[in-house]
Amino acid sequence: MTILGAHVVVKLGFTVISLALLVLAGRRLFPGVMQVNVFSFTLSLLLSTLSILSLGFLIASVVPTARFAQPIGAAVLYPTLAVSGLFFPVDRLPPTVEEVTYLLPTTHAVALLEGVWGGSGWSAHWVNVAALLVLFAAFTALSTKVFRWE
Amino acid sequence: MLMFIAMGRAFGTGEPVEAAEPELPFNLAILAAVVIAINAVQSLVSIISVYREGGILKPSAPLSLR
Repeated sequence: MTILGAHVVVKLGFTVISLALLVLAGRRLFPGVMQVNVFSFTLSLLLSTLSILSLGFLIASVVPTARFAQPIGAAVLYPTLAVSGLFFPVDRLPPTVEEVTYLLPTTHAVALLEGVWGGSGWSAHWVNVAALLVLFAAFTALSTKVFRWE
Repeated sequence: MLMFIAMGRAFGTGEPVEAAEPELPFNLAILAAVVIAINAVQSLVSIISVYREGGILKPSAPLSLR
């Protein structure tokens, strides 16, 4: 658990560093455009990453070999981004697919990040925050059930 | 991104050009942030799979996740 926890901390650290570089470059190249509260946005991205990481744990728990981990992970994770509501509203999806999207962390992550980016506080998106926490707990619990040492 | 900036500096004319207003139907910053997160997850999935298959975590198996 210590090893896995260390990897999670490192990944979260790299996520913050990547975001910081992105923000610095954005402010340098497009001064005055970005008015977002960086601290709040970083926190929301960390929460989102943690929730998506739990889905990653689940994928890693069920994928049989390391060879297939990368493509299967990509095949699962990137479509969740496509239907997350970032590119078009979720309510334009078929009803069944729309219901499934609410079980995915990326949908709530995008809603939270868009809200924070738009200037609304976390309280306006408590449903998304709660959903990210619940999904994190659910996916983590599920992955501990199905995780097997090879 | 650094390569993009370096190449822009190397091959650009140096003349400031008025940037056109981006007309993307989505928030590019959010896309970048979520892609950063997904890449971190992808990397972790690979690491855990390699560990499981390679047995690196086996010695600590009785102590963890249960």
